[in-house]
Amino acid sequence: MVALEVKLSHTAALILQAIQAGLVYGFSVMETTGLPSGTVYPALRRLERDGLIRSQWEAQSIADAGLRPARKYYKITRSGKATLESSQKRYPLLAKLIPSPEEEKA
Amino acid sequence: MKLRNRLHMAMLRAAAFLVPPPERTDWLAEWSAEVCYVKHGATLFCLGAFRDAFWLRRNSGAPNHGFTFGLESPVRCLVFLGVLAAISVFFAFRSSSARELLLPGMRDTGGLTMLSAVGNSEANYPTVTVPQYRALASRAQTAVAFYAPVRRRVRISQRAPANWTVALASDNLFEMLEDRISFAPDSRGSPLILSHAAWRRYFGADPHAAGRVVEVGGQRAVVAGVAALDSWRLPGRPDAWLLLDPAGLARLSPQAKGYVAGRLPPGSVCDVHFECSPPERARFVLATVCMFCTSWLILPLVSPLGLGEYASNRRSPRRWLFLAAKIALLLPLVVCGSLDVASILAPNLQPHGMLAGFLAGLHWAFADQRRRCPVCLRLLAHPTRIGGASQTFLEWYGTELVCAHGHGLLYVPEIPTSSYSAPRWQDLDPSWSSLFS
Repeated sequence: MVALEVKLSHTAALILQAIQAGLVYGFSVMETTGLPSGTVYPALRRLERDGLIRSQWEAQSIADAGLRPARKYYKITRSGKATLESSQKRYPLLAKLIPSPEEEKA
Repeated sequence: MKLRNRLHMAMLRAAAFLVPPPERTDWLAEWSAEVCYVKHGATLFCLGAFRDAFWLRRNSGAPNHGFTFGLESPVRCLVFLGVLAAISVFFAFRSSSARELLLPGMRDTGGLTMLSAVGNSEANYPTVTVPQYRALASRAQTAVAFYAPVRRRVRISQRAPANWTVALASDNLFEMLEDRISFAPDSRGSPLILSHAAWRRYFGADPHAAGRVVEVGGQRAVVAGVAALDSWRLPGRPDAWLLLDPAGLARLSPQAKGYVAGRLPPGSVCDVHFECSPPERARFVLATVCMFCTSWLILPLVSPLGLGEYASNRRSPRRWLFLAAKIALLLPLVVCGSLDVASILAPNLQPHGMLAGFLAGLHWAFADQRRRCPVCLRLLAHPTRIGGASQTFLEWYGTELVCAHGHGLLYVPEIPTSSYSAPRWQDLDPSWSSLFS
């Protein structure tokens, strides 16, 4: 059985790259990618539906300490990392647009 | 700042209504938390919430989250439309001007007629000169009145001067129209009757506007009253009427042209030098027909017209009769509804409102038709996403809807392809009926 390889659009790959780079909140992804909210949030829903990212609400204690409402953050999954790797081969400039933390440290 | 925050929260709450109920609380909490961090462009940020909400609505696993308002049955749908049309007609007929427009044979104010020069009955511009009017008035057996719309600079104290359309009218105009405006002569200037729109715009709907002195084209005039909102909609749509006595009217240029309105007793014949036509009725009918035809021309640009692919034995007239009935009920709803709305907002916007209403109504009629079973005409239910995720677009392949009575399935492709570009209906064999009983 051949595993289906999910091919991402450039926008979806950019958003996934941003999450991989540590931008875990929706608005952070917006600020870095320059994409509007009407593009980013539906894309986050699609990525989560396809199992490439997962969402979680931050602890209420953290929100209370910051005197702000709790935010939802996103993390890339294992299959999301694999999909992102293949997307980086399709879009070579992707890694340069939003470098991953390892590349930044290097 | 607080007002802007409230506006943004109001936008998010409005968008939240589009989200399926099980996910609404979570969704609103996420967006409310994120908007706190948006320093610039928060309004645009909140507008994106609508797109996100629409996406969730389309892709939710909830069985049937569409707004149906209980209109699954075709009979209920037609009854609902009929009730809406009846309400719209009722409110429209409360206005005497709307009654005159909608019922050409009914003249409940004793034969009000517009008189124009011979050969110009369909003209929408003034055609009668002052000498012609004076000659008509001298031999007419009933009252006739004259008014000539002109542009004048109007100066109101404590406001910047503005250009108005002022109708220089004979002083018997409102008496002839039987509008309930009474005023006493004022030595400070000629009486000025304001239109309802001008009274609201330039005087702030001040109930004590009467008696104020204004300057119209350099001449003093006294505000004597305000025309009623449902007053006769005479051609020219002036902002105000400046009533002139016969001497003042005689000072007008002989070449100046205006409109003449008169009351002809039933059965009487119009003067041989003039043609008679009801006020604006012919133009209203023409405008209605034009807007209806224009909406059909524009409709393909904003909405798909195709009703899907059906087997030839399903092309029964019942589906088309239902569609025709919906469109027929939309006609009075839109026409009378546009008159209702225009009487509240601005009469000039009535044709635009009619066009928008026809477009919205036809779009809904076709969209509703596509969602109904071709056999029983009930709304299809239980949308189900089918097919694996596309390798290119991360979108589901299509949606399948089923008739609750087991007549068949409707397959709606998510992405048009060479094989499937339109919704396709599949009949179910009667042997499937046991599953739906």
